[in-house]
Amino acid sequence: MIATRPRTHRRRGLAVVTLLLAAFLTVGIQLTRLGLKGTTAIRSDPVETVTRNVARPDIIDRNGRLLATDIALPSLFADPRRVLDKDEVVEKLAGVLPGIDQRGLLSGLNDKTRRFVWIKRGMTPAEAAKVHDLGLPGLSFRDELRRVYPAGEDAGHVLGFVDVDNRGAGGIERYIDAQNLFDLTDGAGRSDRPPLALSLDLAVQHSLHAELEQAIGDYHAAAAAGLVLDVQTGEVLADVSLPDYAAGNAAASLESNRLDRIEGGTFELGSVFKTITLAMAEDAGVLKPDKTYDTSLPLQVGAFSIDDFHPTRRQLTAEEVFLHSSNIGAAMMAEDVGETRMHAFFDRLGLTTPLTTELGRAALPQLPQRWGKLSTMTMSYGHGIAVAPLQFAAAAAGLVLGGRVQPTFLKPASSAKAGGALVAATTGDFLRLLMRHNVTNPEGTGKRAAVPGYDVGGKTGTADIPGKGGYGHQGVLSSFLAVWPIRQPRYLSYIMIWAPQATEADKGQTAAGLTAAPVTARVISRISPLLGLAPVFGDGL
Amino acid sequence: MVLSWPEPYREEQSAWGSPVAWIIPPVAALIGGIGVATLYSVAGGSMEPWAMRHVVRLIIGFGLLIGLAFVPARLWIQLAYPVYGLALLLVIAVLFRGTQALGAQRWLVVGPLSLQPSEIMKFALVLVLARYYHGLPGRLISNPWAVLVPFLLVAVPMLLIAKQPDLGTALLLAATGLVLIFLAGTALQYFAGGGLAIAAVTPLFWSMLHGYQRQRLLQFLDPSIDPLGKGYQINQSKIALGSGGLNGKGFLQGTQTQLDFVPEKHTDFVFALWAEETGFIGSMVLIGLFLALILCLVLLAMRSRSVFARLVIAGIATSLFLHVFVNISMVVGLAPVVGVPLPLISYGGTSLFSLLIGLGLALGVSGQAEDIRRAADLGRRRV
Repeated sequence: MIATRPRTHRRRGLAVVTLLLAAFLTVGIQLTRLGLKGTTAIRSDPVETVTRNVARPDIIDRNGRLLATDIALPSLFADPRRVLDKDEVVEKLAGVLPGIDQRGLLSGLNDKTRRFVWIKRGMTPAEAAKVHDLGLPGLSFRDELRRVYPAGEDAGHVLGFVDVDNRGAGGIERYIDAQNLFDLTDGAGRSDRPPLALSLDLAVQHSLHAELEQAIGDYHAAAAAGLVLDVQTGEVLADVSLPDYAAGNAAASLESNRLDRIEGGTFELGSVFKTITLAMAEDAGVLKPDKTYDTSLPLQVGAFSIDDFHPTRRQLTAEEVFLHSSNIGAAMMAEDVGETRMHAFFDRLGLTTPLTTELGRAALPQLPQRWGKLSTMTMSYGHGIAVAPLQFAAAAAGLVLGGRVQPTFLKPASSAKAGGALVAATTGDFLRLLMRHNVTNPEGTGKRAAVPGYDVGGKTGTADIPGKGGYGHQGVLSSFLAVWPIRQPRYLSYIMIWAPQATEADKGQTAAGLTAAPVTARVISRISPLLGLAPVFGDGL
Repeated sequence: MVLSWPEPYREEQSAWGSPVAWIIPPVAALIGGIGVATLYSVAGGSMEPWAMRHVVRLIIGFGLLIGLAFVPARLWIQLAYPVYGLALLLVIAVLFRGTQALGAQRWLVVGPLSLQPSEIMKFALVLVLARYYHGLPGRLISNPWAVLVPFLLVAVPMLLIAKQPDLGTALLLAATGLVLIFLAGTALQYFAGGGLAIAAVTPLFWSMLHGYQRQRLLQFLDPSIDPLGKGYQINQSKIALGSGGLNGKGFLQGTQTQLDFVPEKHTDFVFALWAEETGFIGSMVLIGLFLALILCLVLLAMRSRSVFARLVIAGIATSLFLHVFVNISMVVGLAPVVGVPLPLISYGGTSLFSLLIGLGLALGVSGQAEDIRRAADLGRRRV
């Protein structure tokens, strides 16, 4: 046995050595392969990518007014190995560039393994001249494209912002990147692409912005938002959410109260949803000419009681349910339509899935966990369901038009009109008549939205804002949905005011009829001439 | 001692006459020098922050190597089991008291020292297996119970280290152990059976892997799955290797690695920089040096008469080979990225010291100490 061991040892040793040599051979072959490939195919020139600029197309409004453009500005960088005296560099730079991060710069210059350290990007030419005159070795400039927004104050949420490398990071700027509408250029050459035309009308946008700012001041409101939609094309003409941020101000866009309330938030919108309920009931054929709804007592559903905000305590016709904004009547209609048909109708309106536009996917709608009797009833007057306002506006536009409306922020609309009948044409007519009566009838909640010379139709919404401890402590969300000219629907506006405070003039009321409706009237009378809509006086209004 | 060996240990007498023992330290020094030059280049032509410390560590490491070359095998035979026991305790301790780095618990801080018990375990395992087979009568080598013992000696630390989690080291440890069990002459049926068993438990093992470990194995199979994510390291490293061409871009001229395209360029992926700057020829020279070092150890092992010395040297050679092979395979895209440094080149004290200590150990057990003592005696007598 002992005699055989050395032989075994030798054999095993040779086996292992053979494996070892085979392993080295494999590595050698792979190296040869890579070497042969490398001399021709795989070449990368990293210097190229460093000098590249992202050149973005200009953004203009629907009338060609410039909203965003690129300009070339000098950016300062250092080569730490060419810097002679880093302390001197930091000290002198701090003298001409106040606010520079001195400690960060010093540690950057100390890292001798790096050949490139940014110091300040996108300086003004005057700043660059001052730095140049310091005559510090190791510092150089490179022109970089920076994004500027000449009219960016009023449309921050739509335009968005870019990051430090001029890449889109929010709003339409992100859309430009997502669609590869930018160019990588050597040096700071501007993009020669045609400008991107938005559906926004800068004048309308500015007017809406100004009126909403005014409303926040008048009612000491927490926030306000509004949009104007061309219902025929789905083009968004104005989109304002206050408080907002100036386009390009990425830091401010992160503050929570500056969220985009039109697209980025979902809200229980309240009674404006009765436009949907009435249209749904009409389309389902549950409204009969002689049918009335008994609102003399609050409606009991299990432990839950539904009552009216403007109680009349009598039998109401379908039209009166709308004019007086009766929750009881709307709930009864929803019950008549039934859970299944209501769910299908909301699906068709696109209220149950997130809306997608060029700005990205809007916030996910918050829906009841199950469509039971109670939730269908509360949804009939806009509670128990929270959707993005733009999504609601699109659904309402679809109802007055009778066909599906896909909102877009581009001109012409980037996606073909979704089209397709949504409800019977007669349903649209019925709804428009109701909305118009709501403004013209002295008993209608929307009478303060009347604008001389324009046939406006609309619906109020006063929803309790949910918060800690339930409803009723956070004030209300007052909103007004308007369509005009109501006979030939062309424009739709949806204006919202968060937590307006009662004022003397309004007799201590914060309901939408006294807040959002008059704001809407001011907006309509201000923007209609801008949109080329002349007032008509005389019969029929 | 727990176990006694059947025949008294005879000191090695052969190595003095063998030139291979004298080739090992200079070759190691040469590779270490390449390491210094490469780290100098990685830093953009600067001794800071890596090259200077590498030099200092090399000097200390060679001190250890020379010191250990005078420790005779006799002493290691006595210390093998205690050293293994201690290493096992440390590996267990690291699970409870270790410091975390990058999500893994591998380091143990003892006073001013921070050490990786898994590195100590590499030697302890080699020593304990060599000691075990040294004391095992030849006819018992393939006895099932006698096979179970070394299996457990390998499996227990391997599982503990895999749990840290340090998959790379655990697998290297297991591979080293298996090679030693094979070299000891264990019947081949056990290896066949073991292979089947591994095939059976692979699915279970897969389910136990961490997400990133699985990701690495998957992306190894196709690095282009996610060229900017997990496959980035391999792709960039391959580009670096390819762009070196035959002669390389020249010292300090490697753009891929100098400009930070290759991650971990001073540690695990240091070979990419060397290959880019010195080209195919340089890569082959470096691989040749490693091969020479390993073959010298193999020759040293084959010339050893005692089972202990033979297996200790073979174990150290295996461990060195596995490190070199796995690291270079990883850099050239033949193996998944498992975080194994390139001995003597990669920046980092642990791997450098453990290699030089290993070489010292190998020279020691090969009988260098005895020979030198004898030579000294001889010299005195002549006087």
